Amino acid sequence: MLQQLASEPNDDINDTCQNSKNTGRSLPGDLAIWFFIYAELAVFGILFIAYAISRVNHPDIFADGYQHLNRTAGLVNTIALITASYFVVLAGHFIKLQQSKPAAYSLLAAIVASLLYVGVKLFEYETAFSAGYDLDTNVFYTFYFLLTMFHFAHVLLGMAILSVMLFNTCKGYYRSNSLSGFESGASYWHMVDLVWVILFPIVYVIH
Amino acid sequence: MKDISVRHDSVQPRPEPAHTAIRKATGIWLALIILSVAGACFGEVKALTEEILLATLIILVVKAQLIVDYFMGIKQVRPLWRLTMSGFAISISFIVWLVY
Repeated sequence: MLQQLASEPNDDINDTCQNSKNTGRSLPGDLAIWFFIYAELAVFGILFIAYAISRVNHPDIFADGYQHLNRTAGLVNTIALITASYFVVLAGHFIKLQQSKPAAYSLLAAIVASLLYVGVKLFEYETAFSAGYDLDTNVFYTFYFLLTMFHFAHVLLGMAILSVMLFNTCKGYYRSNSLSGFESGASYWHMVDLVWVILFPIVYVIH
Repeated sequence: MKDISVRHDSVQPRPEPAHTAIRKATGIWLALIILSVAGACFGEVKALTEEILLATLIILVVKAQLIVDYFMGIKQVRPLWRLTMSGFAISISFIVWLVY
């Protein structure tokens, strides 16, 4: 996948064809990344459904676990990820305008916003672990850690991808007519954002 | 070679739509922030009523749709792709609605 992100200028002919399709009605980026995204969403979907069913079967355990969640941290993380996605969108538009410098700054801002997410999430984990909660505590914490840590891993991968995109932007690999690699990475990041937008209300808000 | 360079020129996007898109993205970002804060407020309510659950799930679906359409940029793609992506948030919300 990282190789797709570094679409060299030599790939211009293929990318031109790809973008010609994009101006039609095809998906942005490489088709393979979309199969990957759908596979990831399927896994998260199963976990969300399992969480909902377990909550119905163990209402008291989930109600108690919910009381210990830090909703402010969840909201901060939501804002951080949405903001990161926004900066990725901006970067794409700046590249289309052939403005590499603001595009690079936008990607850097996206990485900083995602670092805020990482910091807040680690703080949450630290608080939970020091209070004696872990994966084995009860079914609520099993799902809480499973869902959020699985998502956390995706954020870390997304940050690595954003870093590669930043490097490629600084090197001028992306052009207004050679965006397939950029769009693939951006689509992955937006998927990470989309999953959190669903995870946050299901785990942190609905009680 | 000459033919290829002509094709390159023909797919160069115009600057104006990109500027408009940046303004639109900023509006979407603000809407997402407002919806997130509004949705989080429901978490402070002591008892989960049907109305609060419905409002939270509607906000979830609207936010997901905004991300799918404007951040992922698949509003203009073939309907099947958009439908499956939108269907993810809708189906999860529907299942939560049914189960809770």
